[in-house]
Amino acid sequence: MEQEKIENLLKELAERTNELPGVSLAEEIKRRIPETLRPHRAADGLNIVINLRVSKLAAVAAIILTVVLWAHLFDRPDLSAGSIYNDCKLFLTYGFSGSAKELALAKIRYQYLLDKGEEVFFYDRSVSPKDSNAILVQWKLSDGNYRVIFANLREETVSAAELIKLQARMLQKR
Amino acid sequence: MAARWFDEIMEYPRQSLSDLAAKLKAGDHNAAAELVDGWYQQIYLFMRRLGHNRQTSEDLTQETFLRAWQHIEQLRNGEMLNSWLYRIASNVSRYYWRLAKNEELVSISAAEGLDVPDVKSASSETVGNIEQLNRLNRIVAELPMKFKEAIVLHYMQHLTIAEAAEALGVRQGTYKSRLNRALNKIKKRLSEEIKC
Repeated sequence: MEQEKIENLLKELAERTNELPGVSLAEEIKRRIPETLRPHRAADGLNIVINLRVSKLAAVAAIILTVVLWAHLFDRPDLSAGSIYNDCKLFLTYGFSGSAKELALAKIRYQYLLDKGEEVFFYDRSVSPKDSNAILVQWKLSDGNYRVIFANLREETVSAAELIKLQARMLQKR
Repeated sequence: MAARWFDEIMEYPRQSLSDLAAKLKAGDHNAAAELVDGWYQQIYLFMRRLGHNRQTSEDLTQETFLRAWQHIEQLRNGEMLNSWLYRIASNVSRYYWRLAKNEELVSISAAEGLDVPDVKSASSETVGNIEQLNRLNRIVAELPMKFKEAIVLHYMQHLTIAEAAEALGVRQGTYKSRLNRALNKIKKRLSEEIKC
């Protein structure tokens, strides 16, 4: 059969398969128009990587690569072989527990606070995602308290005294 | 019988597409509703023609618009709004197939949607044509997804080569080659079936 005839048949097929959706579809979609059509955020980019679900390992690898490249691009002060190794190790640990995205966000936040000149620390060694009392990130607030992101990615404000207790526990565990 | 949505989209001059995209980027609710009115039927049909069933096609159409609103900032050229929306729809469809690997492909069959005249009163020429259309419909449904997308976008959703290439995120040359390969596959299958 000639190609032109096939093309014409395809066009005819298109005309004959004009099925209409349910009458309420347009209204249903319109009801879901968000209050504010929000712009794309960095977190969505991470969601896209996670949602691809090629495999969990591939998603983790993509996130690690993104963060490491980001660090290269912006010439981060703590960029060293040891630091990259620790980051990769940490991302793999969290990746296997399904929290790579949250960890990446915590790391981005840490870099942001660091750039702002805040008193911030990232504990990239000896933390496990299951440890609910180990500190992952801490920074000082203007009222003298500390904001803490724990290893299980819970976030809390604690006093200086409570922070010392938490740090002491971490030292004891080592 | 030309589709109503097709006429409506064709009436959209490029400038209007740019204006609509600019309004969407500015967060205009009316523009979001206008986008739905202008495109929901064709996105739904696109999903159906890719082999999703009715309910899934409606769900995926909704998902396409939700993603469009969420990522409207990524649309760089407002004139490409049409192909950009198809690109999202195509990604939504692929994502769904990946999640639902075992789901059966459904073509818009004669029973469901193929608009055929009454076979009893039709001439033998018309009946032959209907048989050919049914055969073609089945062959298109059985094509590998990347070929099916190429065929559907250009011949059924009426996108130009440039728009369809943009919608699939490939160069025009790549798209043309893919389209050609898809047509050759259809040609081969039709010839085989006619011989049998």
